[in-house]
Amino acid sequence: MLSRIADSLFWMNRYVERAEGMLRMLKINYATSLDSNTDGNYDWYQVLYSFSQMEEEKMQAIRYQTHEVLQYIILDKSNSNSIQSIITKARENARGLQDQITKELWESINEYYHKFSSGKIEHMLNTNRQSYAFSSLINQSLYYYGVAEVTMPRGEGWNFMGIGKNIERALQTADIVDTRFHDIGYDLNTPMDISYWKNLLMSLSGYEFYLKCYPTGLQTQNVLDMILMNTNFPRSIFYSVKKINYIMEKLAQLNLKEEKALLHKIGRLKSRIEYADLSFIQKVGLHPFLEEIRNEIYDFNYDFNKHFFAYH
Amino acid sequence: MLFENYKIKSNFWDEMAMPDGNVRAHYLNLLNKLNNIDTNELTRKEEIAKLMFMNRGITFTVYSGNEEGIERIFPFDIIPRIITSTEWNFISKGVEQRMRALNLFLHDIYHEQNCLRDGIIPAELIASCPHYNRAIFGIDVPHNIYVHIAGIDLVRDADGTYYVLEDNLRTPSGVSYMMENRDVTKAIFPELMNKYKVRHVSNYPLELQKILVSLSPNQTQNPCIVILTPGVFNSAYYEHTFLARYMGVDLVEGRDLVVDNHKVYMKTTHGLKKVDVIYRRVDDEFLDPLAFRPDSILGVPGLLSAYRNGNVSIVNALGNGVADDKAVYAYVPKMIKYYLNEEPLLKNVPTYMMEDVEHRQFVFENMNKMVIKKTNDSGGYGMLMGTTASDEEIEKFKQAILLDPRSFIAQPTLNLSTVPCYINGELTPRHVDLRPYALFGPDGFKLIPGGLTRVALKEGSLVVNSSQGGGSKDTWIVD
Repeated sequence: MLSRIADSLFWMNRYVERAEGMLRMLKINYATSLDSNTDGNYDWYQVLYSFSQMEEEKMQAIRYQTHEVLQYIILDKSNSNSIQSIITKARENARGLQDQITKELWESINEYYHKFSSGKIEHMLNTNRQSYAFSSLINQSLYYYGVAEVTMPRGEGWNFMGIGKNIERALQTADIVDTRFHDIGYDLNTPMDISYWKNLLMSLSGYEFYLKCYPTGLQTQNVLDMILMNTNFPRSIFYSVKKINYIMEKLAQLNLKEEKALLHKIGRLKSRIEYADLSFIQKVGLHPFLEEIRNEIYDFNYDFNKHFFAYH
Repeated sequence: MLFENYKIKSNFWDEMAMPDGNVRAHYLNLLNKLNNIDTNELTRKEEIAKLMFMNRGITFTVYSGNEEGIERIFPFDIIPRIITSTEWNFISKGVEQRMRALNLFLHDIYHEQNCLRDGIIPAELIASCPHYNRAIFGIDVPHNIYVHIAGIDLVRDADGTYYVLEDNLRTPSGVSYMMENRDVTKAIFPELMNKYKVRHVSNYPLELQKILVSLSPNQTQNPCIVILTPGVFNSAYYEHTFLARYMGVDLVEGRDLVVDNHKVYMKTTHGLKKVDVIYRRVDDEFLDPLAFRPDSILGVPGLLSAYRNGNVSIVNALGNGVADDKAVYAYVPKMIKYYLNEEPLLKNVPTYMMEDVEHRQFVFENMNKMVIKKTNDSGGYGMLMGTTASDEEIEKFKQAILLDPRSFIAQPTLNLSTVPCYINGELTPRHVDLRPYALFGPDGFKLIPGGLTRVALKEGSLVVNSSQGGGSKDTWIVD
């Protein structure tokens, strides 16, 4: 397929994945902000810090103002990482490859975009229907993935979509883990109460799974184990990396030197996560360990782009 | 009863109602349906139609100042226009005759130029035509076909006679709207579709694909066919994606292609792949910066040399603009006689050449009855409607004509026919034209039974172009 098209498919999925991750995170934080113990003074600093490029001064100014924060993170067009900006970019990519995706998929992303362009979401946020706005947007991305799953032919294009989605997901999960563990000084022996982790797990849609699979007790270490390495948890970093590795094997048909190098890179990363254990992670330190994973992914992403999409 | 207030205009042909107040037979079923329907119901159908266009992304973007562009749908009128098969068969024969003559003319003008030698068309007219493409002279195209796809605009005058208003032989657009309009109509008037036997239009992409395959320079099993688009900002971009989707071919931009050793390749994830046929939606002058406009970034450097060497087929051929120049248009009836030895079936609108002193004199004395057109503009730009123009505008045009008479023609204002439209909760007549889509390939001629009916939505307006606030409606050919 055309390199330009492959590039657009990759980014279209990356953007939708990014929006979905952010929406889940926002939804949980918003629900928490309504709990009585915050006195209507929920601190959004961490969210602003992780998901936007806002200047420190401004973040300090609006960190306790739920309405302003949501406006900025969801709707603000001057924020290139607002959900609206991201979905607009996803849709522009889709528009440039309309003939390469199924009509249903194009319509689903177009509908997603028009939820913003029609002012519907803005209206919900201004009329105290925030939860409804989150659900309706999250449903839109689930609809998008469902349509893709059911209608898209499995081939090269599908593979580029898969790589885009999983690179985005792995990076996002790594970022979220890093932020939450930074707050407890990366100390894996701190026995944090489950309520501390509940938000994180819920924003990854993994709270129920966690309760089912992990014994009570060592919460901190269990949470880390699940988000880093659990094979059955679709948002664990290992799961995404394994997926990238699997798709890369399918893409590398030509036996080119560059493709082999890409396979080595991702394979090495997969093994590193698979065979890491908590004592090893404690030895190198959680933050450096996560940094290394992120750098490896960026590195792979760079070479991958250069090999498949370089058409300039 | 919607029809009770339907007022036809005198001196205009209404396609549904006769002057005595009776309804033409082929509109009866439609009318009965409309008379038994609540206006709320019709308004709801209108809403559904709008939503369908919006969700499918059949929109164009309006930019104003440095605001972000606003997306709008092309206005769509829900009442279908109905044409009988008897009329259609006549149109079909007339368009085919015209296509054959125009193809012979294009071959002639880029080879022997007999039509100039025999004095059929004045040489200076061709020499002064900006779309006469010298680079094409002497190039042989597959099967000598230049116009593979044509949009021939037809109008009906006061007595119902069909006239050809203009020929679009370069990159005619609108065919996707013809098909989408039908799709939407199926969703909002299913029971009506059942009542009429409407000929279907959905074969167009397959018919076009057949032609593209047959034009491949090397007749392999699987020739590589692409559609070349200027990109997402082009106003017809939706159509480009639509055709690529339903022909199952790649939609490429200039930057996706490269010419090497007079062959065209596209840049894929597995390296370069040779391209055999290009259906281009990019105008001649932007196609190849080495041969035409050097500042174009929409084209492919070296494309002309690949074309000249016969390594790639291009649809429509380059240089067709000389045949749809509005001054050359006046000579099409002569071409039909000269090349085919036949009488023209479809009439031309009488056309006055501004270079001709007598013609000019006559037009200047009757400006308020004339339509003045620039010979090389399209889309309703550069037009003067004499009936509604102010004295100032008329004066301006006169000056412009005197400065450059070759660039203008004049035609008497036609009384375009009207059809019923549903506007603001009422059934009311509006003026229309008709653009049927003709395909011409090695296996002969095909006119898709339907077309794009363009409507001047403003009351009394005679300008149907979408750039001037026109809309469209579904067009039914019924047996």
